[in-house]
Amino acid sequence: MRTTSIAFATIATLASGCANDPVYLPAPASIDAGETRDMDGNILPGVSALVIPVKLETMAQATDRARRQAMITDPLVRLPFINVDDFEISVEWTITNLTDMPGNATVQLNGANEFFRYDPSMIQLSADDESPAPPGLDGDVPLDIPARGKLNGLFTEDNVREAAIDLDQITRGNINPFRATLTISKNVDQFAQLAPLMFDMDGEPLPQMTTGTIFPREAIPAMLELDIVFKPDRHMLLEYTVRVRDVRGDMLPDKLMATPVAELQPFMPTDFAITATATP
Amino acid sequence: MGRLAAVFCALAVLVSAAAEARPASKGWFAEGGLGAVAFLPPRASRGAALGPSLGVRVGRDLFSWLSLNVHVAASSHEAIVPPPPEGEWFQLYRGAGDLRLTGRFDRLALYAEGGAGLVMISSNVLGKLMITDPGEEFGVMFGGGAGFEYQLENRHYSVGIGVDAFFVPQFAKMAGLDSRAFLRYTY
Repeated sequence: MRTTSIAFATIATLASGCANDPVYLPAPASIDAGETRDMDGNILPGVSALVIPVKLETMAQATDRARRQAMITDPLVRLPFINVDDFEISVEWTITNLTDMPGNATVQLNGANEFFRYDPSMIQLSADDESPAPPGLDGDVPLDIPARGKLNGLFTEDNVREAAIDLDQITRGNINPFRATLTISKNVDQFAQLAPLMFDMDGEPLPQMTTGTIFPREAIPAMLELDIVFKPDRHMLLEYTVRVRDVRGDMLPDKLMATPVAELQPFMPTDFAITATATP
Repeated sequence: MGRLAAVFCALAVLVSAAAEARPASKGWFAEGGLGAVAFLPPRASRGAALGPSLGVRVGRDLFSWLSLNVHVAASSHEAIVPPPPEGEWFQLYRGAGDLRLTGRFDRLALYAEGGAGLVMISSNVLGKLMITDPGEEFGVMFGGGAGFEYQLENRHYSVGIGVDAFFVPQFAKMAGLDSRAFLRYTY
C-alpha cells in the first residue's frame, strides 16, 4: 500500500512539474542583414517581430480581472490580461557571419505589451541632432563575429522581465527611456507615474514630478511582442527562438503559432512616441 | 552396475535439490529503477541525447511465471537540434501497463515483458526536427523488454537489470531503449 502511495505521489509530482514546461516559438523568418544600405550609405538594420499567441480570455478570467480591477481606486491603473509574472520569456539567438572578414554586430530587443509598442525610432528625447540615440529595451552590446563564424547569445528571462517593466515605465509611467533602461526594476513591487516629458527652450527634457498614480506590480503587463533589431556591419544572418514558460499554465494555446487567429486574444497595442519640441 | 545406479541416483537427488526454486515471495510487488534512455535511429537519435531515467513499477504476480504490471518512468534529455535553441533539455514521461513472463532458475529469474501505454513529452523543442507536430504532447507507446533478477537472501528483495524498448508512432516513429538497474520488493 505504501508503495502504491509512493507511485501515486511520483505521478503527481511529474504532473505538477509539467505545468511550467517551456515551449519554443520559432522566429517567423531569419534576419538577413548587412547588405542593404540607405541613401547615405549606412547599413540598414534587419528587424523581426514575434507576437506570443495567447488564448482568448475566458469569462471566468474576465470576471476575476474585473474583481481585482474594482479593488484599485485609481482609474489610470488598468490591469492587464497577462501580467509580467505570468510568462517567463527568453530569446536565444545565433548570428552567422556570411563573409570572409571578421565583423561586428548588435542585437537590440524592443517590443510591445497589450497597451503600447516601444520603438526607439519613434522617440526623440532632444532637439539636438547630436544627442545620443534613444535606447532599446535591452541588448545593443557590440559583438565580435569571426569570419564565417557563429555566435550564440541569449536575452534571459531576467532580461525580458526587466524590459517588460521598463516598457511600462516608459509608456504609462512617462519615465525617460534612458532612466528606465539604466535602472534595475525587475524586482520592483510598484512604480510611480511621472508627469509627461516636457522640454526647455533648447529642446532638452525638463525635470519631471510624480502625478500620484502608482502602478502596482500586478498592473505591469507582460511583453507579448518581441521586436529583434539586428545591426551587423557586414553581411550576416540572425536566427532566433523565443522560449516561453506559461507560469499560470492556461494562457498558451496548444497549437501555438499554428492556432487560428479567431482563437487568440486580440493584440492591438498603440505606438508610443515622444517628440522633443522646444518650449518658449 | 549397482554402484553406478547408486551414484546416478545420488546425482539426480543433488541436481533436483539444486533446481528447486529458491524461496522468493509472490504477490504484490514494487520495483524502482535507475538507468538511461537512448534513442534509436533514424530521427529521434539525431534530435535527443542519451539521458538519465527513473522508473517505478507496481504489479501483481498472478502466477509464479506471470505478472501484471503498471509502470511509470521519466527520462531527461538534451535536445540536439540546430541552434537556436542550444543546450535545452526536455523530459519524456512514460506510463504503461504490461504483462511479464518469468522463468526462475534458483537465484536467478529471467523475464520478458510487453505492453502498451502513453508517453508525454514536456516541450515542443523537437518540433524543429518535425519529430512532434504543433500541439502534439501525447502519444501512444508500445514497448517490450527483457532482463534478469537476482534473489537476495531475504525472500522479499531482489535486484536486477533490464532493457525495455519503446516505440511511439506519433512522434515520427520515435524509438528508444531504456536500460536500468532495479530493486524489487515483493510483499
